Amino acid sequence: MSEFSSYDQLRLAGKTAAEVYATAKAHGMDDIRAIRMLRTVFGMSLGEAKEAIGVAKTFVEPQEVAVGTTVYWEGADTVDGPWIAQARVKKIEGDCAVIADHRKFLIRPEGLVEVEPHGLLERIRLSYFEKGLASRLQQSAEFWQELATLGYGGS
Amino acid sequence: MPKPTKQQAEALAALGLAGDQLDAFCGGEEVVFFFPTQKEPGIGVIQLAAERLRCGIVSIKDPGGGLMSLARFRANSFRVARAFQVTELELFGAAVVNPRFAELLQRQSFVRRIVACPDDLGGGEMEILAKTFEVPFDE
Repeated sequence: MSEFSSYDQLRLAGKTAAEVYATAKAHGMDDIRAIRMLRTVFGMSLGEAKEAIGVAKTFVEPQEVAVGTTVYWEGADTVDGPWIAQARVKKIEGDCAVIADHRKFLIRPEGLVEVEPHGLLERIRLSYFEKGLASRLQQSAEFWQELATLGYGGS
Repeated sequence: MPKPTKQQAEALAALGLAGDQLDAFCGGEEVVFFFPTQKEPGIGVIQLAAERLRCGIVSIKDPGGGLMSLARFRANSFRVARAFQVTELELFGAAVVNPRFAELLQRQSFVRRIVACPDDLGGGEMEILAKTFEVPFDE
């Protein structure tokens, strides 16, 4: 009997890959095994299995913004270079998130270095958080260029 | 089978490897592992091959903290490379499903290649976008 025969039965019963994945998750299956299961049962490529488990959504869906959630944004300046910030949403006022408990991380060759979060915004428009990760990455191309060369190509 | 030093074990643990995965990695096996993100764990692949460390991301589900998670993964990969004193680090994304992200990586000189897919992920082949970096050593 195949390792995934019970999931093959679901496929034969007409369930989609996403539905079979949801069942596997409900059974406590982790994503490494779930990818293997989907590829075995549905004959998928790795990319197709990734789509079935929802990886593609990560790059297009907005950040979750609600009271108590953590939000992230990024920037770069001539003093600190590229940085990433995070904060907790304290409340929503109109079209803005009022945020607190800021943390700021500089992107350095040795990794993310936390620094005092001076000068960060206390209110950010909700529309900012509607951008998906792919969009943020694209808009931060210079950030990535710097990330790619920051201290790693030199002496 | 070589055992990791304390520094090597700490670097591998920071990346996300645990338990038997450390010995498997030190024995030259390709290891599929979970790495921490700001949300649910991502999936990575790592292998030590002579003077080169190969380290890639298969899956990440972290819309908000994704940038931070990617930056942390990259830095931790370099930490492992330094701990094992390899001269090159190949970073890659496996089966990149978002076309904008794939395009961005290619603009950063990541190159498409077909490689064997680890058995833990179903075997066969997978397309990667890869770039090799020199590894700077601590003085």
